[in-house]
Amino acid sequence: MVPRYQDNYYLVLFFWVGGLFWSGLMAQSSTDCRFVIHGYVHDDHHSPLAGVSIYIPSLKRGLVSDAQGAYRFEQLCPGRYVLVFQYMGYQTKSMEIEACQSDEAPHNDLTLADEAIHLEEIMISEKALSTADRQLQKTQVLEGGDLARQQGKNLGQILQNLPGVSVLQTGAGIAKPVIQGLHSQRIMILNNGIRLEGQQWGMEHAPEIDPFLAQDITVIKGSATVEYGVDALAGAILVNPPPLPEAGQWQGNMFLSGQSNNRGGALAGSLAHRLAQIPGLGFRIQGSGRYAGDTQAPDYVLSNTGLREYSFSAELGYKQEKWGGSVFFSQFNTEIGILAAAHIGNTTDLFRAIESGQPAIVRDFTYTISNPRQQVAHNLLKVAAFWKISPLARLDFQYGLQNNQRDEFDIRRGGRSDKPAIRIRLLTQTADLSIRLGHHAHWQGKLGLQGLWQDNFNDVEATGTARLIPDFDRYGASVFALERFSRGRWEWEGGIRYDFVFLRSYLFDEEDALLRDERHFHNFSLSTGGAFRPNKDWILRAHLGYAQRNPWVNELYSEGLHHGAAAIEEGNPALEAEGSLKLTLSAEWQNDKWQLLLNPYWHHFQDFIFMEAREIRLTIRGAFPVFAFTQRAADFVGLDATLRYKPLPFISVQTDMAYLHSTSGLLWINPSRFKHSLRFAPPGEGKHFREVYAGLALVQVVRQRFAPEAVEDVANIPTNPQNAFDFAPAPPGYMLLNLEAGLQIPFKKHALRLGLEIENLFNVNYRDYLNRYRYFADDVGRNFTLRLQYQFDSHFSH
Amino acid sequence: MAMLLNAMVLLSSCGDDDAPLPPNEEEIITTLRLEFTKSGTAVTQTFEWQDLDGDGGNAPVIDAISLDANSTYDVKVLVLNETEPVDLADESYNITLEIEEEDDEHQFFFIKSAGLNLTFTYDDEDDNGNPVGLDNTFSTGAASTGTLTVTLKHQPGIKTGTSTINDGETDIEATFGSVTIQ
Repeated sequence: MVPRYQDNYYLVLFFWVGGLFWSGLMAQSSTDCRFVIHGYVHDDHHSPLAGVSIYIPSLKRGLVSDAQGAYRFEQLCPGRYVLVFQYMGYQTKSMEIEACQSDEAPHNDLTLADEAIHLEEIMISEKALSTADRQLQKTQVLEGGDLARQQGKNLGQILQNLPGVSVLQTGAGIAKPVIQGLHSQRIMILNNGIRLEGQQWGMEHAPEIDPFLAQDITVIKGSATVEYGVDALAGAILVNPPPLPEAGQWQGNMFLSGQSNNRGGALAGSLAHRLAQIPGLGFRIQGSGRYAGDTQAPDYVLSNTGLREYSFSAELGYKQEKWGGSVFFSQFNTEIGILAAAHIGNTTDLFRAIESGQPAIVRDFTYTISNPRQQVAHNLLKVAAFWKISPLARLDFQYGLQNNQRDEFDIRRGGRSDKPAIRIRLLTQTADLSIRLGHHAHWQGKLGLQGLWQDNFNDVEATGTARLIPDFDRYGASVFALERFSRGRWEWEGGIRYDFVFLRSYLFDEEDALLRDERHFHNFSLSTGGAFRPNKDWILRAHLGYAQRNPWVNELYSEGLHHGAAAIEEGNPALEAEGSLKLTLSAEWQNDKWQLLLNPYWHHFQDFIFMEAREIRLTIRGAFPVFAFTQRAADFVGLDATLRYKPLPFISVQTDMAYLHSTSGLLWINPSRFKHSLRFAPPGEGKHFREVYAGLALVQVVRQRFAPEAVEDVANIPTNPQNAFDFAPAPPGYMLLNLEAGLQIPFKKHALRLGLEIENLFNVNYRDYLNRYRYFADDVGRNFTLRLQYQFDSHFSH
Repeated sequence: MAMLLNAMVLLSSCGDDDAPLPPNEEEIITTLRLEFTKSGTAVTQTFEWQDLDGDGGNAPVIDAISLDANSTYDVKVLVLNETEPVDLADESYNITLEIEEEDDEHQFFFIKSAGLNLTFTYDDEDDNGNPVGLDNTFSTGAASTGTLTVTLKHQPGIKTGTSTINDGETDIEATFGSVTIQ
C-alpha cells in the first residue's frame, strides 16, 4: 500500500532545522509568552512512542517525543495552535490545542494508529491500481474484489492481470509466473511468509499454491534478494492470507464457480474466529477444491488436460499486546493431465506435430485424466512468533517445514504406466529470525538471520528410471541488514546480505559408483532504493539491486532426455554464480481523472545461466539436440506502463502494456503485451446492490520478434554456441476480447457477490508463445465463468 | 554466525549414511537386431544398430546391411537391452517379449530411401488383426544402395488398421545408413 500525502506542510518540514533555530530566536524576543502545550504520544496498544516528530506549522517550531513519549512546547504565546504529529509507520495526525499557563496546562495525549508503509521495493499490488479499490480494501477486511473476480484460476493466471507479469504455461493447468522475463529460480514465491520450496527448476512445474488462501497477492518487481534471498533476484510474489479476526469476531466465506470450457468448477470456504472468552486466541480453517475435464480449443478438445486440485489449511494464533504466536498448516494436492498430443518420442514426432498444425490425438471430452500426468502434493507447517520488545523494537521468528512430492506418470512399456516415471521428494526446513528497530526519529532498521536445510530424494526403486536431477542435501545460512530512512516526502532504503550455501550432490559415474560432490557458495546481495513525493499527485521511485545466485542443482547436474521438449538436457558442473544488477524506476501520477504509471527497468547479468544447443546426438530413438547449460552476459530491458482515464466518475478507460527486449538467443521470453479495458462501475453505496461493475478488456499479444529462428529439420539445428534456434517459429500475435460483470448484494452482516466472466468471447484460434503446447495445439477457446461468493462477518456494518 | 554454520554442518552428518541407490533404468533399449534368413536356405545374417552405453558416451555402432539381389528374406526383429545379462527368455534383456505382450499397441514401420529396391510385408498380426512387424518378409529387386529406417511406434489406444507411422510416440527410430543390394 502506498501512503497518500495530502498536506502541504511537508514542504515546510524541509526547513525544519532552520525553522527551529529561527523560532528559538523569536521566542526569546517575546517576554509575555510563557504558555505551555504538553502531553504524551502512544500507539494503539498504549505503549509510549518515542521519536515522534511534533511540529507547529504556524510557528515553524518542532521537537521530538522522548523515551516516555512525552513532548512539551514552552514559551508559547496565548492562543490555539495546530500541532502535527508525524512518525514513520504511523498515520500522521494534526490536533488543535490551546496553550495554557504552565501549572494549569492539561496533558494533551494522542494515539497514533499503525499504518503499514511498505516501501521495500517498487510494489505493485492488485490494490494499487485504483484508489477507489484501495479504500475499499482498507475498510473491509474480507474484501479482495480484484482477487475475488479472478478466483477459481491458478496463481499464474491470476497474476497475469498485472502489467509486467506473464505466465509460462504448459496448457491451461500448469502456469508459472514470469516477472519481467524471468521465472523459476529467479523469482521467489512466499507462501504466508515462507519461501516456497518445490521443484521450481522445471518449466512445467507450477508453484504449489492455493490462491484461495490469499487475501492479497503482492508482486515485487524489483530485486528483492536482500530480505528474501538470492532466488528473488528478478522479483518476488507474496501470497498473504488474511490476519485472524478481532476478539469475538466471526468471519466466513463460501465460494462456488463454474466454467463452461472445461466443464469444471471450484468450491472453497473458510471460517475464522477469535475467541472472546480466551482473549487473544483465534483460528481459521480453510479448504478448496477444483475439478475440471479437458479444456477445449475453438476447433477441438485438448485431450487429457483435465485437472483435480484440493487444498486445505488451518491456523491457530495467539496474540497479546507485546507478544504472540501462531501455528499454520496447509496441504496442496493437484493432479493435472498433460495434453495427449504433446507426448512425443523424438524430434521426428515433434516436427511432424508442428507441420500438421493439428493435435495428433483428439478424443471426445472427458473428465478422466490418463497418462501422461502429474501428481503433486505440498505440505507446509509454519510456526511463528513475535515479541514487541519495546515500541521501537520488534522480534520475529518463524520456522517452516515443507514436504513436496512430485510424481509424473508417463506412457510406458511393459505395464509400467502405473509406476511414476519421476518421483521426487523435497524436504525443506527453514528458520528465520529478524529484528526491527526504530533507532532514531526517521530511521528504522531490520536485521535478519535465516537458515535452511534441504533434502532431495529421487525414489528410483519406485520409478525404474534414471534421475533427472541428483539427490542432494543443501544447507544455507544467511544474514542481512536493511536500513530505512523516511522523512517528509523522502524515503530511502539500503540493504546488504550474505548467503552461505553448502551443497552435497550424490552423483554416479559410468560404473554406477557413488560420488559425493560437495560445493560451497558465498553469495552477496546489495540493494538501495528511494521514493520521493514532490506533491500529492506524484510518486517517484528508484531501486537498484545487485545479487549473486549460485547455480542450482539442475543447472549443474541435470541429465536426461526431456520427452516433452524432444531434447537432451545436460547440466554443467563448471558453472559459476551469476551476478545480476537490476535497476527499476517508477513514476506514478494520479489525480481525480488520470492515473499514469511508468515502470522502466534494466536487468543486467554478468554470467546469465541458460541452456543452449551443443550437438546433435544419435540415439536409438532418433537424433536429438543436446542442450547444455552455459553462461554469458545478458540484458533485459523493458517498460511496464499503465494509463487510466476516468472521464466520468463511473467510467474508466485503461491501457496496460508490458514491453521487454532481451539479449538475443534466449528462448521463452515474453512478447509485448497490451491490455485495453473499459469499465463501468457506478460509485456510491446502493441500498440493495454495491460494487456493481461491468467491463470489457481487449488483450493484445504481439508476435515475439526476438524469438530465435525456427529449424524445420534436425539436420538444420545449429550446434555452434550463440546460434539459438526454436523448433517452430514464434506464433503470430493475437487479440482476445474478455467481458466481465458483477455486483454485490449486502444484507446485514452478510454479503453475496455474483460475477460473470467471458474469456475469448469471439472464440479466436490462437497460440501463445509462452505456452509449451504451442507446437501441438491451439490455445483455449471461449470460456464462461460464473462466480458466486458468500461472506459473513460478525463485525460488518452496511 | 559461525555458530549457526557449525550447527548446520553438524546436522548434516545425520542424514549422510543412507546413500542413494544407483539408478536402475528399466526401459533402456541398446540394440535393434535384424535377423535375415534367405528363403530356401538356413543361412541367417544378423545386422545390428547398437548403442551399448545408452544416450551419449560412445557413438552407436551400426552395421552395414548387405543383401542378395532378387531374393526373398524372412526378417525377424529383436529389441534388446544389452546392459542386462544375456537371456532371451528374460524381459529385462529381451524387450521383444514386452512388445509381443503389448502387440496391440506397438507397430514397426520400415522406410527405405528412394532408389533402394526393397519391399516389405508384415507376416504377423496382433489380436485385432493388425500388423506388428516383428516377423516380416523383405524382397529385394535389382542391385541398388540406400538406407533403411526401422521405427517402432507406441500407439496405446490408437493403433488401428489404418494407423500410420505418424501416430503415437516413437520408441525406436534407427537408421541403417548403408544398405547394399548386390
